[in-house]
Amino acid sequence: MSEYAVLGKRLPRVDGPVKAAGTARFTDDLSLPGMLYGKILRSPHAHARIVRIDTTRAENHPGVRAVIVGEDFGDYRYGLRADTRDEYPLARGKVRYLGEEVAAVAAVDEETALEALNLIQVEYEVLSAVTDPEEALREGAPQLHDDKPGNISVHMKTSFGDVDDAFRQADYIREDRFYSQSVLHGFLEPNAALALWEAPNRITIWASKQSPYFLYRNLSNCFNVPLSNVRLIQPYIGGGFGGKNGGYPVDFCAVMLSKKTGRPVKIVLTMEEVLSSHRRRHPMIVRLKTGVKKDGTILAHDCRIIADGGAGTGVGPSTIANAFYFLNLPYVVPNVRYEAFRVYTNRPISVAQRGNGIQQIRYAADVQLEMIAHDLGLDPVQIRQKNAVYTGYRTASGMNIHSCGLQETITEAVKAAEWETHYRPWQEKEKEPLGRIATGVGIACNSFQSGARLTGHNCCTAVIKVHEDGTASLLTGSTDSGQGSETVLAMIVAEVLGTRLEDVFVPQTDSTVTPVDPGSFGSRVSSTAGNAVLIAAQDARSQLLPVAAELLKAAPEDIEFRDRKVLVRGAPDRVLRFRDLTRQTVAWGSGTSIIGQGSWGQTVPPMNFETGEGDASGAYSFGTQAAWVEVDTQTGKVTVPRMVVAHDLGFALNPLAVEGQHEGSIAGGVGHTIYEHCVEENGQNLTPNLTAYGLPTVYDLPEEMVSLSIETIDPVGAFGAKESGEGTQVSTIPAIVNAIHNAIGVWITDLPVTPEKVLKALRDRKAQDRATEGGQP
Amino acid sequence: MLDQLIHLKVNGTLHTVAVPPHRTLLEVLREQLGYTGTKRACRVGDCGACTVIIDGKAVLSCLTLAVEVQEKEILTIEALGDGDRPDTLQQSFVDCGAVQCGFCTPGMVMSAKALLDENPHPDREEVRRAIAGNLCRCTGYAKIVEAIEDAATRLS
Amino acid sequence: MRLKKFEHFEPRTLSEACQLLNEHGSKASVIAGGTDLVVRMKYGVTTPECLINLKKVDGLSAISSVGENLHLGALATLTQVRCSELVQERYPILAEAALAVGAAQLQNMGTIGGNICLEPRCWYFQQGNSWRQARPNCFKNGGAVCYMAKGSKRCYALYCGDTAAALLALGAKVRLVSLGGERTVPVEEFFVDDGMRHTNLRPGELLAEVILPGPGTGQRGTYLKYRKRGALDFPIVGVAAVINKGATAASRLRIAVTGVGSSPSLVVPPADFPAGTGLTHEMIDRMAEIARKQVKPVSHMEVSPGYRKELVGVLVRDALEKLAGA
Ligand SMILES: Cc1cc2nc3c(=O)[nH]c(=O)nc-3n(C[C@H](O)[C@H](O)[C@H](O)COP(=O)(O)OP(=O)(O)OC[C@H]3O[C@@H](n4cnc5c(N)ncnc54)[C@H](O)[C@@H]3O)c2cc1C
Ligand code: FES
Ligand code: FES
Repeated sequence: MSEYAVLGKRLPRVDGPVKAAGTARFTDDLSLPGMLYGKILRSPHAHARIVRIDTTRAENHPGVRAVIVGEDFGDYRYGLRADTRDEYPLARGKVRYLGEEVAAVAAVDEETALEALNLIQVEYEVLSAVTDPEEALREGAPQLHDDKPGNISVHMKTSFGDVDDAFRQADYIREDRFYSQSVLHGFLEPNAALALWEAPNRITIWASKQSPYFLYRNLSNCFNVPLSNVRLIQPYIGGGFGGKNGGYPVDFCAVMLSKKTGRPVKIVLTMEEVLSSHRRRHPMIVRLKTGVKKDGTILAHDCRIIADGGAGTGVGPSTIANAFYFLNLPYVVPNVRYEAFRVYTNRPISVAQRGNGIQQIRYAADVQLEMIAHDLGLDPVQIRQKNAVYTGYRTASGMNIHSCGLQETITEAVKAAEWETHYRPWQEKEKEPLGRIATGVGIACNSFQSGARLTGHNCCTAVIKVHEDGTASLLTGSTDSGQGSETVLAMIVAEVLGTRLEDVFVPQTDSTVTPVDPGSFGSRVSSTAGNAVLIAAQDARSQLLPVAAELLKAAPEDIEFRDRKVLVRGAPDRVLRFRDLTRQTVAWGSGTSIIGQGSWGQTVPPMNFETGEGDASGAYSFGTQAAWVEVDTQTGKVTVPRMVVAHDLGFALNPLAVEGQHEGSIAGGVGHTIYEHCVEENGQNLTPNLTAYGLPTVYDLPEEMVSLSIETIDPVGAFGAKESGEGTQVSTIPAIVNAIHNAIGVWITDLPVTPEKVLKALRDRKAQDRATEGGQP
Repeated sequence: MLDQLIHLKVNGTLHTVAVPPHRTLLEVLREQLGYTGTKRACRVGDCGACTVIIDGKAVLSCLTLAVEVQEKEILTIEALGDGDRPDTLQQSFVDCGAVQCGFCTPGMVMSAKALLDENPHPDREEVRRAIAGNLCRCTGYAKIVEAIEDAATRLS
Repeated sequence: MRLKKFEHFEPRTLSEACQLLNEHGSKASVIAGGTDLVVRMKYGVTTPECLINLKKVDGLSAISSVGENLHLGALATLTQVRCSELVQERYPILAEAALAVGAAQLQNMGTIGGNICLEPRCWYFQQGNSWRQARPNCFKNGGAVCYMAKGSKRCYALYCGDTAAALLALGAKVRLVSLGGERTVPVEEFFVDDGMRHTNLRPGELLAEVILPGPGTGQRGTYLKYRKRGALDFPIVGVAAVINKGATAASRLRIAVTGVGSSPSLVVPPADFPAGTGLTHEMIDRMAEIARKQVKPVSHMEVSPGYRKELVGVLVRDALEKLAGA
């Protein structure tokens, strides 16, 4: 891609130096004169009626400035859609999970605020709780929300093609149950907010948000102030992964406490609060029935999901729809039936997490495909090649594939993994005695939406102000929570204007300054915001062009912007410095400002959450992952020393950033597969610290990670780019689980892959083998 | 428990601050002295984000009492380069893509610095060991290990 | 996650420390590296009114050779211990165990004394205030139940110190001092299998030093640790094994386990365990089996008793095979 001067280069991220220097300010690093410290009181019960809250003693405690409870927010509820608003800033009437926010305090320091929490007296009438989604669906189960009978938060039922007939045609059918556990986002910066209310109705808030404009709308509604008066300034964000999207009680409480006290209020959660009661990934039970032809061609999927939604809906409808969409990709599935229940339980609320519903479904589908290959004696690579979707393919449900390098990713991943050397089918290995350390390789494919199509506000907007010295400011509401989008978007500006990366400054999101944006989720930024930036940059360029043409005495179409210069094609002597052009342009005629603007949103029709028909996005990424595992056959411990990722990301805008995304995806995926798990008892998390929870250390992740980019130049994404930060995590789980089977011949259908489970599965298999042998004449 | 006037030598500067014994070094650095480069994540020793160097050793400031580190040389991330002039180690982190969200970075850099100050030519295992107490969710660590090795090469 | 108020003392001598301990009795806690104590204080499960900080006690971190023996001051950090040439030369198993603790920062801060005295752990014990309010307190938090072994009359919190196993296997002693005097006891007598009170440290007593007996010639040992993650985690099972070539049959082989009960424990070879010859595969298998049978773990922190026993067997076998092969 040498035609680009800036894009496609391994450029270090622009915010790297300040982050490495420790001068990058995160929310907790900020303070204001007169600032108070807020703390939140949480429910000790998984399900209870709040009979009475007495805050008098807390209010009278020296140093306490305000105490608030649910009633202070009136009837305000929030949620993704009008019919799913079931979350409160502070509990009203009832608490629905252990750790739910009940009251909040602002005091002169954190210690005093903590003391005050102990002085708030809450009388509860304990209700029976339900923490298992299957039980929650049973008749007579405790009900969480009066207006949602049967504890059903989201129900989706749909079908395309003739599934029953397909199963009749099938040569082989398998039905399996898979379970994916409760895992957390694991960001290191706890949620935090610093709020300042200025009477009569202005809000300024610094909050750790990957999608700040959710909160901007939430605050406007909650406090009944116009959007113009909500100023959300985004400090640096210490990771989000889906857990810092919307408004949360921490934000609402900070504002309300500031409103009550007239002082700035900062609330920083402890890691314990984050891990025990903040949002997490949906645990899911996936029952999948698949029919294939003898040669492994998939004929149909019939899938039933029970997703544990916790006590609120959050972005649940999108999770459930996503799981359906990606039942249809990355393999050709001509007939598909799907029914999903997202169920309320007395647990913390499940939301999106890097992959939003897709990890769980692809774990099931790709492991089951491997089972089928094994049962039918087919080659795992070939069965994937045979079923892989291709450019021009349209899923049964109507998703359109405009660019697809899936086959190439399979080829490249297999090559890089030296598959031919390392892979031997289990049938062959089975005959040999298992050594102490058994090794295996596994492969899995993925697909992901490249910029989710949203209902409602769907587009990203960019404003580029070109300064007279030739530098530019890019105003965007698409935040960088660590993924590096700020750098990539700045590179697009530099590319179009023919300047350098260091000439572009991207201030952090500030809702009074930067344009409104849906947020950094659903792999939207590089592709969707990228297009908006491209349009805005072209707009700015077009404002410069007439002046350049005039100054250089050339036709506008002959003019090129490159390396801080303005050139005339074919006339090397006619050159202008870019900064001279900008200086001349602002003074041209009666004067002007160069401000480029661009908006872009996915143009496919919005997704249909009811039927799942149509596209989830205008473009889809594809990829293949190959995992190498080692299993200690005596302790059951699994390690993943090596992982290969080959990803069709359309175009690698910045290969260094892409590698970072791939490696980070693997990290989260390995954690989900092997290490991480909230151990709970009656809705109480027994593992609310990073050690008990088991966030992977440097010793637990692949020492060797190979990241390969397959460029297919997508017609929709900016410069042909598609996503690369979520799709790769989708195939991490099945690649590892398939590799474990290849190593020791057992299928792990229940995550995480704890050593104890592995050992038990190994024992069971051996016992079964013996029984079969013994039974033979 | 009255506040005590204590003297803390941070990055070569002597600070006199009044603190009660129950303040951790992390709290005093961030809240009283303004060294917010040192991050606060778990507060109980699980993550390494708060790592500083005391008398040449990487330690956790969230588990250190401020009153017990008087007369010691305390180094925080601010002792290294700033955003304009990163030192070699910081530059390696930036160049190798070892920084994503950056929240683990100051602690990670301090662990790496303690290692390289003591052992300028660490092998791979020594590098991994030095940062095993620092959690990072974003990077998967490979680029961090690479950055530290890169810095070791550049420094020698 | 803020520490409660306390008074802070920094004695300069051991006797001053003992004096203070005597004065303040049960209201005081001794702090060394603080990596265990401060965490418990942050969670609010230990709430001392005063801290007696050992860091300034003169000479308490010395590592010195006394005759055959090696003396480790209680305040020597794990990094000091593992980097000590004397330790590396004579008791490499102890360096191995110290290196297995937590991670670099914890080894730089944590002391050998604190590592030995490390409080037993349990998911139902080390939790924050609001977590604990959600259920009746367990024994260790002043209540009357053990959630690990419901119905039991005792606390089953797990002792998870790494170096204790190595010290047990090495036949180390600890010197305990108090205002009234001092005593030296073998490590195996120092520990008590009780999650509530896992050492027999008497009120007013301090651990002053660890005394390692001379290794003699031909002593070999190894410490193997099994944990969930490759760093930071406490042992699910730790096994230390030491073989003394020249010694009598009874003390030829010492195996200790940690992470399995409320105290580290020695695995006792049966009286007829063959001695005098090298370790054969049969002997190793038999010893692994004995170890597996001797430990009596309860279900703990997501590890079933059966699996933990299994691991003890595997680690004992691995350790002995390593020693046999060395
Ligand atoms: C994330 C994390 C991971 C960890 N992983 C491990 C691990 O893998 N293995 C492991 O063994 N430990 C681990 N630890 C615990 C701890 O860091 C070590 O055990 C350390 O060695 C404790 O020593 P210390 O000096 O810091 O103890 P302190 O916290 O100072 O003291 C511990 C206890 O011993 C008492 N005490 C200390 N010194 C004396 C003395 N001289 N006389 C009498 N009583 C005394 C104290 O009163 C206190 O009750 C971990 C800790 C954390 C936070
Ligand atoms: S904040 Fe100190 S270790 Fe996490
Ligand atoms: S860069 Fe985000 S936690 Fe390490």
